[in-house]
Amino acid sequence: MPTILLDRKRINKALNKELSLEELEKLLEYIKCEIKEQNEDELLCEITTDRADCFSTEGIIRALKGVLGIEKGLVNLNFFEDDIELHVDESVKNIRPYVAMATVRGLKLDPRALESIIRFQEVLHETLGRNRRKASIGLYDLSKLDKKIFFKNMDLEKIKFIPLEKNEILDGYRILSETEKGKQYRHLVGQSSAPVLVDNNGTFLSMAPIINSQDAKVTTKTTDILIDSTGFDLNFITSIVGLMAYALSFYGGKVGLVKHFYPNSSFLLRFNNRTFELSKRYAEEILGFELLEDEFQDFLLRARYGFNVYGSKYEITVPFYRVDVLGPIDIVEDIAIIKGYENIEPRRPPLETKSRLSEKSLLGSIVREVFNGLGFQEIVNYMVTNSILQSERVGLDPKEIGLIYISNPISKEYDCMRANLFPGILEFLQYNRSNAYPQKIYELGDVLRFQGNRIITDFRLASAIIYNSASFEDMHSCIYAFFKAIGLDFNLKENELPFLLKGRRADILVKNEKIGWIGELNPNISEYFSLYQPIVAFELSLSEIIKFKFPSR
Amino acid sequence: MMNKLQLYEREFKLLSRALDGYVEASSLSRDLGIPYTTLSSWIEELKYKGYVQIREEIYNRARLTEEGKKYAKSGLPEFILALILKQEGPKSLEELKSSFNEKELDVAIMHGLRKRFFEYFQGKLRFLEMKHDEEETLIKEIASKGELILKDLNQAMKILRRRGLLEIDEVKVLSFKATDQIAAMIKEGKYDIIPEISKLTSEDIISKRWLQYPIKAYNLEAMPPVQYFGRTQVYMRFLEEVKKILLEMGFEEADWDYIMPELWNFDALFVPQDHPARDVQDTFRVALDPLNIEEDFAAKVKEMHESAYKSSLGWDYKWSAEIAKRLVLRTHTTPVSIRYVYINKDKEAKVFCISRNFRRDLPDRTHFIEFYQCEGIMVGKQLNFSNLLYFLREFANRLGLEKVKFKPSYFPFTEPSVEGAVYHSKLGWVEALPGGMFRPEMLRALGVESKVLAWGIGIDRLAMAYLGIDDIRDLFSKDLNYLRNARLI
Repeated sequence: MPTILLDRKRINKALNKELSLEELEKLLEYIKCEIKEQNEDELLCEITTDRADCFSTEGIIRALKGVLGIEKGLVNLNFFEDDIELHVDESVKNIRPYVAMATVRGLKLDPRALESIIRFQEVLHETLGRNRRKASIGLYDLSKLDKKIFFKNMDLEKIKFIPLEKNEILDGYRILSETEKGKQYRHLVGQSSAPVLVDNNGTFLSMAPIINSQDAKVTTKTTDILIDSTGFDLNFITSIVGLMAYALSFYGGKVGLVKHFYPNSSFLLRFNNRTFELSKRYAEEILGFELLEDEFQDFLLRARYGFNVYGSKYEITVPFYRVDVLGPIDIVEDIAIIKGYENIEPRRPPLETKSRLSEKSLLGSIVREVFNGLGFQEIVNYMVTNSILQSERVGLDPKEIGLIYISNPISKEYDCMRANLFPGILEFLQYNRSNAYPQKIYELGDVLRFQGNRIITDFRLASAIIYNSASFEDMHSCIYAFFKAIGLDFNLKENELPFLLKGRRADILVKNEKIGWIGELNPNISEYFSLYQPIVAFELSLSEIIKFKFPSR
Repeated sequence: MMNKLQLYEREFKLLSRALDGYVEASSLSRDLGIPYTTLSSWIEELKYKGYVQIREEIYNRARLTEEGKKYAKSGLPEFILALILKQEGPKSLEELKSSFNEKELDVAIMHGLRKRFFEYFQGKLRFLEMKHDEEETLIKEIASKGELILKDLNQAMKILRRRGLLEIDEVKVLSFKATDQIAAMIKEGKYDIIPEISKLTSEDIISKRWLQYPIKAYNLEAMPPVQYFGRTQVYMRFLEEVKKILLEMGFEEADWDYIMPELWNFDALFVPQDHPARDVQDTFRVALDPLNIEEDFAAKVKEMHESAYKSSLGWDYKWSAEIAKRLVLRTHTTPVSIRYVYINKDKEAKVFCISRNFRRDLPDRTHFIEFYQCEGIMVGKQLNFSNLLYFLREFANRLGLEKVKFKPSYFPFTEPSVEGAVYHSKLGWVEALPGGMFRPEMLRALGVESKVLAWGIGIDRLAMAYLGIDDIRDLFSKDLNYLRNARLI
């Protein structure tokens, strides 16, 4: 979740209230924002990713004014046609094809306001901008610039300006290798060239996704700001510029629309509100409570939507900065939020259904009854495990058992999915060498294998007994008890599994189908686990047993 | 003074071992194959009769901590670091950061410098020499024996304890010896062995022997031998209880694949393809070639992402089937619910799933790469948001959590969404009950007209609170001692 820093004083002043922390906390719930830390002046908050318009103090104030009914309906923004021209050169096509711009003129920025706006820019970079890859945002002082601005790809050696962090002129190469931002975002531009914004006088605005120049730096004296966003999707970067213009306009400015000249088209870039049709009945059907007409309208206005009524239908105007609203359902949620979740009466779901346990759980509980009764302790291991443990250490070939590897493991210790339970059981015994013997343990769980070009999930049961005279019949008798309890016959047939002791190893067969094995551990294997007492173990497929017991499924 | 000692056989057995000095009780217990608790009660009895002298001494018992056990396996970090420097030449701290976590690196450097395995040279660490030492030997020895009991700690032990690798506690060691007078009498053969019945047998009863000989009285002070009963693992037991509650509320159980294409894990949940959660840093991918995906469903998912619906804008980008085909370990159980709806369509249903999921989190006390989720859905044409709130409150109540409050939340696949917080006596308000209604875009892709109310609970966190555990990894405890002795109530 994005972390944002809010200006507590500004919020109180704008709402004309001295809100206690508890009151503020409650109020912020309306915009899915939660206070994590606070001091006198600032609140460190976490906010859900949807409400990008509220990633700033400015946006939050406007939303809260609606919640409290101080200001209702659409936020009044003044647009005008600015005389700035943006010319996009063909050369950016293959590196960062789109740029969008707007201006905000007539601003009064105090130091805290400027700080707040810069933070908003950073949060947008990290979240919607996906670390500037999907969209970058820049702000410039218009008074330092010519009306004509160009976006083009330029050779690094020809790029020359004083980047924000420095106080000398650097060329493109040095900017990328010597500034922090240059090193951090180097991968976003070319090897020997980079997209730049530069005005008609040759003043550089920025190396677009990376760093701005000192020449057009925004300060508290700045009254007119140019906003740009660059990226790969014009609609998307337009919404980013819109979000920034929306926040800036809080400080008294008018939003100027900029003429864009692309190689094959030119247009005035606008920020259009969207409209959706919504009926009160639909909202009631989704939410499960009735809404009075007045109430419905009041909720819409307090959520800062506009509307027109056509009979029983409402045409809702969604402001351009509400990038999270994709359809009517999102407006319905806002209605519920403004009503307050605590004011919604929970109602019993009108469903009559039959409960049913899965076959796995059913069989699992029988296994537990049997093996608990026989004095075994259930253990649980992770499914993500270690390939050496699963193969080499128990003498099995990873290909043969269909071991599935993770391609991006966090460490070698957890690099595959278990294909058998018993290696984990042996590891457990190794870990518990200093605990009292005899030890009798079992595990129920899924294993995964890649076999016959399919990923197979097999529900397994495995168990081991270890003490100084553990032997085959100790376990044979347990299996016998288990099969008797589930009403199946089984028989044993000698096998050649390498991790078991010759003459003391067998497959478990049901109706001539092999479903598992039983045997005394080959001491060569148990020695790997530093276990020096006899071990008898078995592992079988409960999935196979389910097939026998519940053939219809 | 009597002429001859009257000894029971078991008394003779003990005394004859302790004629020439103190004998330690626990090793004698092992030698004779008599449980320690029994043996110590016999010694107590001999002392009461004045036949033996007892000595109780405090010894140190050294055992490895979790960290110690780890290093016993992997080797001490300063050795690992020295080996790297030896094989790969001098390295800076920055270069070493990939091989160690930060704390481990600090530890390795500190002790490596102490042992003069390497030194700082021009800002880098340079290998000097590596000597096997007592710390290394000791940690291995304790690992193989489980514990070491001894009177005094040596220097290496003190160091290992300071390093937090060794935990040392005190144990009482009981020894006994025959008094000089008794020892002399036994040596001179001045004793009779008298029969007694210590364990009553069927033969004793039939032959009426039990009437002729004294029956040894049971020492009520003695500790009985320890017994372990078979039992369900504590966390699984908790999950079984939760299942029971859901069955009572009319739910049926479902589960599905752990490995699936992103189509089902992400795309079907309306998570855009460039969402950070889908990065390799956050989601485990599987080293297998992509399998076929359901083409018709994929087509509908593509439509929903690319905004082909009149009633929704979608995410407005070019959706890629290649990304949707990538195989991942599922990161949540939601695909199980979605799959259920995809197959059963508008059938009215309540479904739950308690199963495992995988996320590429760095392990710490509250995160592990593998974890359980408990989640479910209700499907029906008449369902609405107030029904979801009812369910969440009811479920929390049945779990023993009386106080529940709701607030707005956001999940990409539900709208409206809710976060339920429950009040826990120790932890205060805990956000543990997220929920919401499947978005209309999803319902359309799934081909249903019903509403789907979805919910999930952070079952791991809840279980930790119930079981009084503060490290998530202990839910899968490897410690048999803990599992055998965990309290059930």
